[in-house]
Amino acid sequence: MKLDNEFVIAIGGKAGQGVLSMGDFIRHIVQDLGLYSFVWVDYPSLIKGGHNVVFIRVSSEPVYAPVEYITYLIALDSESIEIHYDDMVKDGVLIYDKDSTKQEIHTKPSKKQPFFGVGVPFQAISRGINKSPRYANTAAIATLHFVLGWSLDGYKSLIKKKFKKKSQTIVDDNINAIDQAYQYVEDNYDTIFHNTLLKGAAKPYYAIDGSQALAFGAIKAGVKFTAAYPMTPATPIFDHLAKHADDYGIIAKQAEDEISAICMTVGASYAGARALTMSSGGGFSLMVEALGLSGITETPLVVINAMRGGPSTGLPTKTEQSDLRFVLHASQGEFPRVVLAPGDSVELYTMIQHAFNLADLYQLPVIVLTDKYLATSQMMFPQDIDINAISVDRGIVIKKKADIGSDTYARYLFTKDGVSPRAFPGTRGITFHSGSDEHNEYGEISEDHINRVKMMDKRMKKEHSLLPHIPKPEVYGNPYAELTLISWGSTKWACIEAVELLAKQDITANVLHFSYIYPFNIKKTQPLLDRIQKSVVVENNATGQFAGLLKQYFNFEPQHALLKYDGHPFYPQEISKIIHNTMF
Amino acid sequence: MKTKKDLSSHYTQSTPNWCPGCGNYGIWVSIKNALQELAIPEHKVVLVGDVGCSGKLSYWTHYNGFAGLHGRSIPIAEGIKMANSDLTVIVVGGDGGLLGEGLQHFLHACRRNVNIAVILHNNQVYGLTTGQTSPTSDPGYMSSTTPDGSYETPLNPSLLALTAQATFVSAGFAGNTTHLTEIMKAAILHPGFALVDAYQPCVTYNYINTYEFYSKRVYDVSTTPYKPNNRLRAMKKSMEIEGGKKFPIGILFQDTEKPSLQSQIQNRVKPLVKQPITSISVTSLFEQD
Ligand SMILES: Cc1ncc(C[n+]2csc(CCOP(=O)(O)OP(=O)(O)O)c2C)c(N)n1
Ligand code: SF4
Repeated sequence: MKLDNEFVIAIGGKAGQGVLSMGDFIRHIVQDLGLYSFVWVDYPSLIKGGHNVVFIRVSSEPVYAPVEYITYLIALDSESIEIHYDDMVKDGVLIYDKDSTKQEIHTKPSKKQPFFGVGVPFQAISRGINKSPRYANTAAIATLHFVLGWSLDGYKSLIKKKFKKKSQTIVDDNINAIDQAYQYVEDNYDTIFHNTLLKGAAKPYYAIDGSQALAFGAIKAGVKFTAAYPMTPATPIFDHLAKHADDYGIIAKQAEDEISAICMTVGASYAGARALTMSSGGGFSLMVEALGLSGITETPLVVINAMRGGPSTGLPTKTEQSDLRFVLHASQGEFPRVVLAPGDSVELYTMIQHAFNLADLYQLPVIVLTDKYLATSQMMFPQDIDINAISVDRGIVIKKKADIGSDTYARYLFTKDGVSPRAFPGTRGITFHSGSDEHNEYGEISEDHINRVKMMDKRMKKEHSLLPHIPKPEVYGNPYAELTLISWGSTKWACIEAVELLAKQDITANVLHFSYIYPFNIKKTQPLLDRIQKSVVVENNATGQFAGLLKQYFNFEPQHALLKYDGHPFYPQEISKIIHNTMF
Repeated sequence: MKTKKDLSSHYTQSTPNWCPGCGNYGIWVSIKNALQELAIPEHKVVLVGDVGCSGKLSYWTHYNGFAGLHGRSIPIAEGIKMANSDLTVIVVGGDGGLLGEGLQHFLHACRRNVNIAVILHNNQVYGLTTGQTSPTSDPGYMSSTTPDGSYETPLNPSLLALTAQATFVSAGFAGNTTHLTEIMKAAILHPGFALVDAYQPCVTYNYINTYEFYSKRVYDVSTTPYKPNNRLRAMKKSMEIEGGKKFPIGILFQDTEKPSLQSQIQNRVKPLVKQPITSISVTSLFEQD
């Protein structure tokens, strides 16, 4: 635990108590203080009640992964104390409501209770101001400021900025709650509390969550149509698009089901708009037939699958990486497809743009895999990254009849790379046929066996033609380390940090990370696998799906598979510990 | 039958392969005539086919065709129309696809009032899969899947559309292409969702609902004092078919006041396919919070 240059603030409470917005305030303050932050959340599939918690890892160094300890816990209810009691570090601080907390909490740490306790009558303070518990959370954040030794100025100006538009009374009441809570702690507690991180010099960053990164990337890529049916954890991606739809000229349509959502999306894309649909595994299950429609009609399609614990309804609000094999093979028959699994916010933002380009260039479905953990975590996005780096490439599009170069337009022209010039319906002088049946170059139904083979080969060829666009997996750390952690998608940064922890135990390890999953660029990847001495695959699933692919495509067998399917993401500490105990 | 410029498929010899005498021919002719008479340029039309004998029509005209999936032609058509409202988008599909596999899409498209025309080739059987019972089959209909005859009560397409708030509900008969052409024209021009329930004899599998059966029973509502401007009256009118004796054809209901989805979206969003997308700035999104 790196207590010297980092700490974790957790806010626990019942769903509906405002835990998330408190987390947002605190993250803002942390950021304004020049500190790095990484925010992740855990919540059950309930609207009211149930335990919600948001974690903010604060550090003077960039951090990109969750950890298992809590330094400062704001407990909005007694259950939060119960659940997180054992996660509290020695000499940490528990901030709790003095009047409503059931447990007996001591001010000073002891053997039995290794952390400090700061009880403040948040609700009473709030009721004194507004006759409601509405400002209790504000009072709690003010208390955290006292504990951390932070000046209240930043918080107060944030409150003003946030609520000024609502009403001056709300601003005044909030400030009042802050002052009263602060006064209360000052009067009742010594300034016992330690905090080495008062201010930092973090490089400016945006703290956007994974859903925002995907939505912003899609908007940047020129998405004009999206349709979806609500399903956790994919819904926020759609919500962000819907929120900005008017500003960016987008139609965001909630469909009657996922089948409709994907079919509308295919329709819109066929008509010429960049189009996106999204769901979690359950909704994706309903979409699979239309995935093949995109495949055979060669209609560009981008689908996001934000994975959660399966099978079936499974764990709606927990994370998992268990749909990899499913999306690789989903839908009957064989057709080319691309599967991407970005590993962090920056990759989510850039790779979704890449997904749109690949879909257009090669006229096929591109599936972007993410998961609850990555989609809901706020990972820092450095401001010095060029957010305009990727330009839109729509591939070959026939704009007018003269572009065809012959009298008739063959929508599915046989070409060397398998890509036929595309036209949109509505192009003057051109009409054409597309359809879910096997067809000839003109899009007309054909069951001729020779045409069938040529047409299948033409389509499948695209999976090969697009390989130059698939980069090799990234290596983090010493390329010739004695141990390689193999990660894909969201396990990236937990593995990278685990390598740092292993280094402290004199184990030199590196990470081989895959964000571009399928098709594999075997030529570029094989050498990286061949030089590995010892390896462990790290995956959030029970069957080692990616490990199986490595065997299938590279005849590569990792020594170990570190598999986790309890609904939680990997923690770096946990990875390094297991590796240390089992492999060395 | 009117014959105009031959509008069977272009470029190659691909022509309909429906059974000789199939009611789909009459619907095919009527669609082509309607589009020609409305003088809609060929490149501005997309026929979206469902999977079935009926949906194959989308392959067999000079217009753009997109043959979708069984039951899913409606959402595909909605997507096309939302992306490019300049296109005339027409769905052609059977009672199996549109009322069985994809009933939910049918109902939601009605209330969504997307500006598409849906031609329901109602042959009361699953033609392409060799005559099984469909959602509109009469009770007692015997097929390979219902050897003892169907026990179920058929759906009434027009009544369904009316309860789902469709703004244009009509019926026609494949054996009367002059009339069907006029109905299709009205459906295509209607500013919102339009249903044409087209009675389509399947000469191979349906020996009850034949040309003769319909010829004796259909009557054009426009030749009666009936006015298609009241939903409740239209529901009553649509229910006449349930006795199996009288089949009103023509426009049963039309409401041009209710705004279509396009007209509502247009105020907020420029046509999707006309927007440039090469230099979109998202800086403000990153800096927003
Ligand atoms: C998902 C799916 N289920 C089943 C089928 C098989 N299928 C093809 S056409 C058809 C029924 C056709 O009946 P209808 O929609 O009434 O059209 P018709 O052939 O009578 O014009 C069925 C069940 C299919 N193509 N796809
Ligand atoms: S099976 Fe029936 S519906 Fe299909 S083509 Fe033959 S007659 Fe027409």
